[in-house]
Amino acid sequence: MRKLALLGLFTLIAASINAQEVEMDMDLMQTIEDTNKSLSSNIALQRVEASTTDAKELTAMFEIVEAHFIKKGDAENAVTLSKKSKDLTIDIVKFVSDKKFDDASNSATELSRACRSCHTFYKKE
Amino acid sequence: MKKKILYLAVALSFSAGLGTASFALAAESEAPAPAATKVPNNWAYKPVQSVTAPTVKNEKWVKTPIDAFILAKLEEKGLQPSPEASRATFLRRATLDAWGLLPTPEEVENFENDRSPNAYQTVVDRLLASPHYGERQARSWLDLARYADSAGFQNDQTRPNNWRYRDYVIQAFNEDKPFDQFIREQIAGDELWPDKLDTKIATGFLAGYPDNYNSRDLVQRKYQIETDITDLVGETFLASTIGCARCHNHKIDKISQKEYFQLQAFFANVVVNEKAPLPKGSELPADKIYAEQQAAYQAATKDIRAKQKAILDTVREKGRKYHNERYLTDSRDSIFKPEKDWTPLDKWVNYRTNAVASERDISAYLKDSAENKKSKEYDPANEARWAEYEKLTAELKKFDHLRPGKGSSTYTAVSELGTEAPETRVRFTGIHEKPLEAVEPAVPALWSGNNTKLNIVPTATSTGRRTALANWIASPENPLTARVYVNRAWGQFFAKGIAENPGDFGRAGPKPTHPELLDYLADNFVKNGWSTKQLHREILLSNVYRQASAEREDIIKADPDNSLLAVYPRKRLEAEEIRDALLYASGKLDGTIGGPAVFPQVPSNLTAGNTLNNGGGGGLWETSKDVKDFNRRSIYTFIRRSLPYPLTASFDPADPSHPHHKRDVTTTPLQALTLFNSDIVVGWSQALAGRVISDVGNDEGAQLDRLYQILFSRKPDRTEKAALKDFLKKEEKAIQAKAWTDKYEIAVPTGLEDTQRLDPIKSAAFVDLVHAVSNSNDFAYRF
Amino acid sequence: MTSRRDFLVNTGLGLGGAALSGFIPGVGGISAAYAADLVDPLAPKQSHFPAKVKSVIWLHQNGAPSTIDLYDYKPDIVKLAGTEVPASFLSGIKTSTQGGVGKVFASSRSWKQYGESGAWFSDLLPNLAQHADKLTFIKSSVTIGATHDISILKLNTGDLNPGRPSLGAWISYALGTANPDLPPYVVLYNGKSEPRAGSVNWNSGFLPAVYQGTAFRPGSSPIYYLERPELRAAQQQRNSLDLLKHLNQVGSNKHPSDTELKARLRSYELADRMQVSAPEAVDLSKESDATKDLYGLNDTATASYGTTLLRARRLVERGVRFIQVVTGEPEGDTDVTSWDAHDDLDKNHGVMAKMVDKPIAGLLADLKSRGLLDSTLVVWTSEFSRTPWGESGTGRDHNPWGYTQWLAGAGVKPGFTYGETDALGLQVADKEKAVDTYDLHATVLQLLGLDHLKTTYLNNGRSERPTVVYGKVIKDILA
Repeated sequence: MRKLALLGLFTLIAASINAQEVEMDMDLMQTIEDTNKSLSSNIALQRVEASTTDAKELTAMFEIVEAHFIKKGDAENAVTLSKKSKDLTIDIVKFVSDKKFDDASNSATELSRACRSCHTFYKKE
Repeated sequence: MKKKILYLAVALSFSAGLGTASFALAAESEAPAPAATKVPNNWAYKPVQSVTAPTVKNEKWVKTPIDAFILAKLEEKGLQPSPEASRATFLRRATLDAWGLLPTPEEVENFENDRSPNAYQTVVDRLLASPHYGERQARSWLDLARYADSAGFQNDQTRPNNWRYRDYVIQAFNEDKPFDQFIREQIAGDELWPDKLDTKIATGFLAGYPDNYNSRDLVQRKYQIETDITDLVGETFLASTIGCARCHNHKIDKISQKEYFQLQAFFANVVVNEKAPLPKGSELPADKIYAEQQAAYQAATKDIRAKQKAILDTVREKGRKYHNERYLTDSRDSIFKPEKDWTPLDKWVNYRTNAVASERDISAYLKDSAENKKSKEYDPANEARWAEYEKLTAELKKFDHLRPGKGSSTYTAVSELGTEAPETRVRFTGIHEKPLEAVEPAVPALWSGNNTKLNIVPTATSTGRRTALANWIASPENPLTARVYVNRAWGQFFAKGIAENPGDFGRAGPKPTHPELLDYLADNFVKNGWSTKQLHREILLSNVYRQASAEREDIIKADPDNSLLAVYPRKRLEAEEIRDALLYASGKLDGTIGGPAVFPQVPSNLTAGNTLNNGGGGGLWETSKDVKDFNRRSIYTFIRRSLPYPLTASFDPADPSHPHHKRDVTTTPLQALTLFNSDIVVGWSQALAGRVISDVGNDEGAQLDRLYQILFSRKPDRTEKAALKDFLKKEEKAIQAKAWTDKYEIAVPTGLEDTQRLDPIKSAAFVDLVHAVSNSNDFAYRF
Repeated sequence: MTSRRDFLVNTGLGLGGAALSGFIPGVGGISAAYAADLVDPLAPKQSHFPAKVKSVIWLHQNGAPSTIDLYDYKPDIVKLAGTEVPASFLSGIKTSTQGGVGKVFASSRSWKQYGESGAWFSDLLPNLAQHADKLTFIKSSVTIGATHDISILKLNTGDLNPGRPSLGAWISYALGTANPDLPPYVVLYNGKSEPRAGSVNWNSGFLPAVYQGTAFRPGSSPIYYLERPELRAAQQQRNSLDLLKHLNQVGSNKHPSDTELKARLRSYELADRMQVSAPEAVDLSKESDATKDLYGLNDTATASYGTTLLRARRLVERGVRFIQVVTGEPEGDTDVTSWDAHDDLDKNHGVMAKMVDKPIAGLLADLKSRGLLDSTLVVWTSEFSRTPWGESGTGRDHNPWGYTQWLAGAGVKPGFTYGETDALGLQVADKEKAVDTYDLHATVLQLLGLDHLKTTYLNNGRSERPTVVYGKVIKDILA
């Protein structure tokens, strides 16, 4: 089931990036936030598989965010931060597979900070 | 995790046009989380649907449609509801929820012996018909109305007639006033029924804002009052955190700052008269007592007061001018403007100036001009006048014992100052000195779709704005009003709302766990003529409400928050319930309904060092001289904003500074100290011990049964009984041991006619037993 | 509802194994079926690493003081006073909907440097300035500034909505109590009524109820009903409490996972011990006049706040872990009830700074002279601060973008300043050095010997920590 769902997700993302304009709405942000919370919990519980799934989902979602800001233009900071976030999620996948949970935890915290800095600049009223 | 993916998929599908695919995905994903993921963010603003109860496998379990909605979700998860609680447990639960009191052992017995198929209906109808019902239900409404008997702020002066609004609310619940009518009366009773007293008193809802009578900036005060009222109405009826939009566009819900001020404009012309004289012929018995006492005081102090007035008259004009000149610039502009040039805002400011003007302003001027030689107002002639005035004040004080301790000859009501309202402007970042564009009354589009402009028809003396707003809120088409109200009702009986936060139906609040049930209840509520009693009746008669609360391992695993209600959620009694139930059990509760707020006993250190007075010549807490006042239900206890009543203060009562949506439950050693050490509670234990002995005589076993029946609606089991008996033995020894000390005083049962046959040691031990038992969790919770 | 299983897991009981070794160490190994019933949830627990700090005094300056008028000296504010805030300062700030933000406002302050560290203080804090070399300033604090209630909640719990445990509750949970006769977590305030943001700010959230803070009232009788009724002898009381405990235990067997019922059972035991320990702990009559004067008890402007701080010191001496002190108002007739100076900042801060200056200076001096500063951390904190631009002509608006908080005591570098704001004191100068609530919490926990990433609790299957998903210890300020 999980695989199927993930597959669906990727299909959708691909489809939506190809579509005219990706809506960067509250729901996506909310999903990122929820997934991030789940990731942080799963790392703390040293759950390899669940952490990896979360991190990979985040990678996909930050790709959307990055694409959105590149397309939007004049948002250098946001592009940098979403790229940084994406890279962190990739790091986390590695750390988790090496069972380096402390490092994964630090990266996850770093990731959360990146979200916050970004919001300081771009949060919609 | 599935939930998240689904969420994202749905979100994206709208932009990418892949709706079908994403919903197919939804169908395939396994075991969705209990929170309803399919509920859209704007669920609360969609029209209420007429829903039919879902079909369930276990049809036998369904007693009301409510049950079907709950059971359907449980069956979806493969869970069973809990078995029925015993009849006694049910009755204790229902009596606490409906009345805030305990059932008597006789009521339990009657119910247990009622073998008719209508036994539950009979008992629920009995609960709903009692005036105790209104006393309990009103309290929740008063929480929302940020009800208090004082004004708050630094001086926290007494509002001697606010109880009339409180009694109006109690009566509204007791007579099952249709909720739409209840809304109209409270928001616009003065406009809609200008000739009726009780609908004017109903506007005390709006008038209950915390107020600072000393404020020197009246334009700001006006704005603060309007802000309070706007937030009150938005939060209470519409579960919207509208207040956030005052300083900036709402960060979470789609309400702009402009829309906020458009809503505020409905209240732009509101003034409150806190001293409206009671019309002749409408006096209640309490008012007659007050009038007599007041007349006696007036007569006794007539000369002194006349002399004081004569002194103040010599400086009255100067004093008033001096006082008024101390207002801030924009207030002063209005105050010193000739009346013929008054704008609606000037009218408001002048109304307010007069409303808060008092003799104290003049006496303060006299004092200053007599004592402060540096002041421009200094006048040597005033020295003697002030000395004389002070002497008279001291003399007057000697008659304080004659002052009525409670009550008034007035009532509080909202009205308006004509058909034209002062303009409302958007305020930059919410600051009153930074007015921007002017706005007209309208309701936020988020709530009303495209019908933001309401049809406003002025009355002879009023703008008609509030009538329009009240009608819009009370309309059956309003998607929020009924939902918000039934959700609150649900929360009262099941600890949590269907949408968990009863105060926020916006995006920040959790979505409903059972959206269809919420709609069913809302729709039915309106169809039943907005009848609160019918709504409560259906809940009380549901099988969901009848379930046992015993813990279940499977539910803790499957639904740790119990959001699906497979188990009845046990709950600690609220502050008022704890006090009232103990008082009731002790047999001392005075059943008088309504009347001026009372001042029961407080610890002696409560007011020590507190120099403030109540604005009427007394202290902040002057314990009643009438001991009957000690034993009234808690809803009648005076609510002084700055001095919560100590006996209930630690049990999380409502904070009257804002609408209070949900009682918290904290568990602290301070609560334990209160219930265990307070001499008031010990006194009730003595009385309860006396009641038990009067009821069943000296047989120990019978006493223990009776005590448990009174407090817990059941008899003690064998283990408990053994522990209780063991305790009595030990306690008798401990009390006997005291006989060897200098101080041999014991607490014995009270209220007994025949104390001759009482063994003092045995009976003192029994008092201690009663006290320990009434401190237990079995008492403090309803299971 | 928290399940017993969660509770066992979280206290390291019941489930052993490598996967859970990251939970609070020191109590693992036992796996009795009813361990939660047997083990005292407040029993002292080992920290993750040796603690520098035993007690924290959390000085919440309620209403948001303007730190650019207290510590963060900005000569440019005076230079630019009366002019519009240059746009360059406002990038990244969403202040409001329409119009500019208003003109730069200079209050009537004078400034001086103090101590070897040369820290700046305005004339509002002459007494505290004498302790310049004891303080560790964080001049790059940031938070989310919506309204007071919401930001205060964040300051104490890390979240903008009620429901998460407060920092004090996390600490009580992670470390247990150091004195079984007093609550490990006490809240003090000197206003007439409870701080308006309310008990959600010292609640235990999803942690078991036993970890929530206990609020003492201000004034001469901080705890009502502390004395046993005269007619009840000690032995009677003991017997009664034993009976009560027994009945409550029997009752809670039907609800074995119910931590609230258990907390209530325990609250009676603690209340019983408090009858003896608390009157003595809060009674100031044994304090010398010199000590009382040190805290400003001889002056109505400072007496009420001084009283709470002197009580705080007594609670530190008695092993209370976390003392949350919320500023109220001075005695007497004043309109000022918090630091929230939207208008007439000079008057407001005049009153509030006076109220806290001498008592806090007194507290630091007193802790030092008693050797307690070596094991106590004092944190001067607020929900946000105030803008360099004026409001109502004489006040200042809310500023969550850059402000000053400070720490003093064990484990932090004395006379040290971390981070800075821009030339107007509006935003942090270097975003990398921004210190959010979570970072402050992480640092406080670190000083108590707790790794914030490993101070965890399993709630509904999710591992939660005090810093939510954030938090970074400010290593640069650690001694």
